[in-house]
Amino acid sequence: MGDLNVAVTREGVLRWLAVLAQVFAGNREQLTDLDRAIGDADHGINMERGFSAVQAELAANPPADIRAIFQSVAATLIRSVGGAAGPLYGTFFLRAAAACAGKTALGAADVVALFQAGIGGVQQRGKAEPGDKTMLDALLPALDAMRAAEQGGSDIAGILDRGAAAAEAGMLATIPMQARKGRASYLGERSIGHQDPGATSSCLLLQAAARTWRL
Amino acid sequence: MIGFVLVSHSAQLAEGLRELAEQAAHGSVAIAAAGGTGDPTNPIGTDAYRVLQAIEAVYSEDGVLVFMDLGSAVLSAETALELLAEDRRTRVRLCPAPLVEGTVAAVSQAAAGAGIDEILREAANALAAKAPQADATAEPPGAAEIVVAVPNRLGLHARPAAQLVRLARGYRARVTLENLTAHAGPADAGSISAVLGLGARQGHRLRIRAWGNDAGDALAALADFVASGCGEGDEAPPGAAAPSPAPAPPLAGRLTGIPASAGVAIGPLVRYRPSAVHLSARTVEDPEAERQRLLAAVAGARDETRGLDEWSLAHAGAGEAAIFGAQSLLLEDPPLISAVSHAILDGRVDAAFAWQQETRRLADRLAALDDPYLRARAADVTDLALRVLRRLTGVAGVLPELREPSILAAPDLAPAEVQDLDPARCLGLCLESGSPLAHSMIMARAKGIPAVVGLGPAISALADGTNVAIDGEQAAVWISPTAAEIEELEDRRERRVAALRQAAAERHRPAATRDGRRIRLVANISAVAEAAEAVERGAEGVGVLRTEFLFMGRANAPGEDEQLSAYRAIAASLAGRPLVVRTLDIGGDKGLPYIDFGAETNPFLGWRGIRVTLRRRDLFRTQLRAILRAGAGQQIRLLLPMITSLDELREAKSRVAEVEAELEAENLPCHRHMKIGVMIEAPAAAAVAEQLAREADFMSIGTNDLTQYVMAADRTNARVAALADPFQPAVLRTIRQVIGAARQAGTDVALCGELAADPVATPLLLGLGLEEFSVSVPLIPELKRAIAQWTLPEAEAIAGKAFGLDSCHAVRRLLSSHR
Repeated sequence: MGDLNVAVTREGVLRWLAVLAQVFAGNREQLTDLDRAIGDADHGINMERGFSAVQAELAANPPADIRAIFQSVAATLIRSVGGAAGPLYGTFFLRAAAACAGKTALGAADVVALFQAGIGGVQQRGKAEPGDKTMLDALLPALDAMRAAEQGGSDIAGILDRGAAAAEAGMLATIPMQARKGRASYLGERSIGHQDPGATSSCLLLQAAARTWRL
Repeated sequence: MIGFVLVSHSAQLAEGLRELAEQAAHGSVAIAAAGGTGDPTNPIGTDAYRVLQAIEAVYSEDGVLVFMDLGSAVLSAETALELLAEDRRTRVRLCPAPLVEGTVAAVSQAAAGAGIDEILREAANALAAKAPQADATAEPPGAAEIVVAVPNRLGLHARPAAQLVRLARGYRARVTLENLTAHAGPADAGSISAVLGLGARQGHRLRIRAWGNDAGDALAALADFVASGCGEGDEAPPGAAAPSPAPAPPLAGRLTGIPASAGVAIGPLVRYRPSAVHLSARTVEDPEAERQRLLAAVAGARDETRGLDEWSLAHAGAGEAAIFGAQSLLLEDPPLISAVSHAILDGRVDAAFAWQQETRRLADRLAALDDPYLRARAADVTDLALRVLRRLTGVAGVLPELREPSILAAPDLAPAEVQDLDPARCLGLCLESGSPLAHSMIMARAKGIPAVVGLGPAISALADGTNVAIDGEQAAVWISPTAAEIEELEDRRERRVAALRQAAAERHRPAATRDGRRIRLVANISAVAEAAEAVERGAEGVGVLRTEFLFMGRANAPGEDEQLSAYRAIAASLAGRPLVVRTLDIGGDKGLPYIDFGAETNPFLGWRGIRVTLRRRDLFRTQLRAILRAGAGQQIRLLLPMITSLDELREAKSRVAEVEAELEAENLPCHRHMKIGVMIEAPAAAAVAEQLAREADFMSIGTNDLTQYVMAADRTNARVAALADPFQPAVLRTIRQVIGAARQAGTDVALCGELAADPVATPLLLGLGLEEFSVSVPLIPELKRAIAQWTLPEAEAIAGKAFGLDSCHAVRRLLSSHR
């Protein structure tokens, strides 16, 4: 599995974050429109602001290793995002940082461990269950798929492809769900028929990783 | 000095609240505001670092309390805790109380020198001070309303009230009812006690008001329900709904109940009324733990009531079942539960005392109503109150001394009470309520005491010393039986004793057909005590251990050690006989307080069985660890409920492998490569049975659920229950397909569920090639006899004929003609 020639380095991690800044800038309107239907119309703006602040901070204070990069990302997101996405994605990167402690490059098992720790943090922080129409409806199937792929001996690209595909399916599956967490849950049945913006941003996060870490 | 942190999306709100709180604190408490994001272009929101700074600013060793508004404020506060140094983290508490009221109440308490627990409790109750002024039933603007007259003769008595409450709870809108004729209410339409308290009788005018999202729909549905006669015609309600406070004591005749323990008994009646027990208040150290105890006891009593409900539905009529339905609603009644909770938390008294006080108050209120049908519900409340009390205190009264061999009549009995009964003195049991599934009745069967339950209050209206006879199998009680009846019953008793003697002699002889084909006959059990009973009755092992009994009626999931000791005790009772442990099968109609199932519109097609345990990895892992550890050196196999695809089986297998590796790494003895089987309950599993048979080590067909799913008919819905018949050709063909697939793959297949135990079905199942029957414990001896009646060629011939028939009635006729 963890072939040293095929691993994500510090530069790979930075490239993923740079791609994320572009992705969230490019999808700002889509995310905001989704959030307008069932939330407070700020998710697109929040994500764009958060990840562009991440770029500025990383440029100003370049961290030494992967763990420090994720710690910096977590702090920046928590400070700059404002809505629930701040503490949720902040916790994702905080836990991801802990999972990457002491690593100079991430092999297949490390990549899965990174997502497992981060997604576990999101679950613990948000206390949502599958089917609540949240980020987790994209993240949990993605994690399951990535773990299965890793156990089946896939390489990093294969793992992330499976994860991104599962996240996309999970994201689409939120459309018929009735929200049970967050602002959207106040809408009750009227939340049915809309794709969850959080699941959408989570899917974008995984798709970006799958595109960037195609080693 | 305790510090306070106020978190709000709005910096102005947090700052304004700080001012208000400072005033209440007279400057004696440190308070910090952490509102807004601090970003001028985007000020509304929360920032975990601002919360962290605020905590650091007011930190003291006495502790810090954090109050939040909603949504991301809570997430940010939790994130701040994660960012805080670990030794400080344990001293910071997040308070779920409402921001403004909670903060002011808490700060006032802190200024008065209260400790942190007391402050938290006061904060949690902060809204109570406001409630009397702004009554919860006060009506926000925008309510829609409609006035309807109650047309049916008996008004809103228990059954229609229960239906109305269920209907109202199905909407998100808040609905109230007001009895304009009797000037009662408004009452919350979601509360059974409140609705019954309206005393709505025929001709009374009810005002229904609703507001919220689907207010219009809720209003239309409820108005339609009332106007169309509350779900009933003009006739008197059947059975137990008849005015029960003072039924004329029958002088002679027969009562019919629910069979709970087989056998015949004749003797004088002795009545036992445990309700006289008087409890005095006890001060408790930890009121919150006491409240949890109450909730667990209520949940346990509710599950028991539901069990009774299901039984009545299957064996009596929907009318009687609806009475138990109303009872279980009373147990979930929000005003009752919250009144008892407040009494415990505010008065620091024990749960049993608080429960008794509040239920007496409710019973008194119902007993004071004009309407005899509603007055009778006071008895329901008393009955329910005792069920819960029995769970809280173990025993609810002192058993009368039986001076001569007698038959005991009681509202219900606790297991501990049955344990104390001497079968030489107590010849039989007649219970007003009770359940054949209750632990107390398992004990009655183990002790060989005949029992009939669910007889209703009539049994207690008899005088002490009345001669009665009971037949536990027929569920009948004869009052002052005639000489001819006694003779017939004595005769039946002797035949039964002879048959038991024969069965006892034969019980350890393995089950076999008349021509010598060995059949495995194993037991379905759902209690530790049942394992020994199963062996006693001649079971060759346990085919399904339903582990739900370990998980129900409590506030938290059982830990690994608790489960381990239960599984070990069962394995020990079985003394080397095989044991199949089914993993937690929760969901559908069975919930647990510590699993959030959310709102499911169709729970039987929702999150249940393996679908729950694969997601709740924590629960599954703990249970698997306990099962694998209990399996060390034992013949234990694992059974997975509600499998619908190979993916689920594979995923579960990989979890088992993980747990096995984990236990090995910890050097804990465990069962390696445990055999793993699947329940075939869903048509999907039957359809892919030949694929499942290749990867599962064994299969077990659960005919109760399979029948409902194949027929798409809910057997608790009286209108379609008749369709849910396992003798339907569609069900039989499904079973045949599964048995065929298993035999082809060489995989063991068993059948559990009521069909396996029905002697009418025995030749059919033998003829299909079934070699393992798993049935409930009391039915084992009879089924062993039924199996021995047939030769395989006879059974195959009958099965062949049955599959040529095109209706369940024709199949039943054919099978009955061969008995």
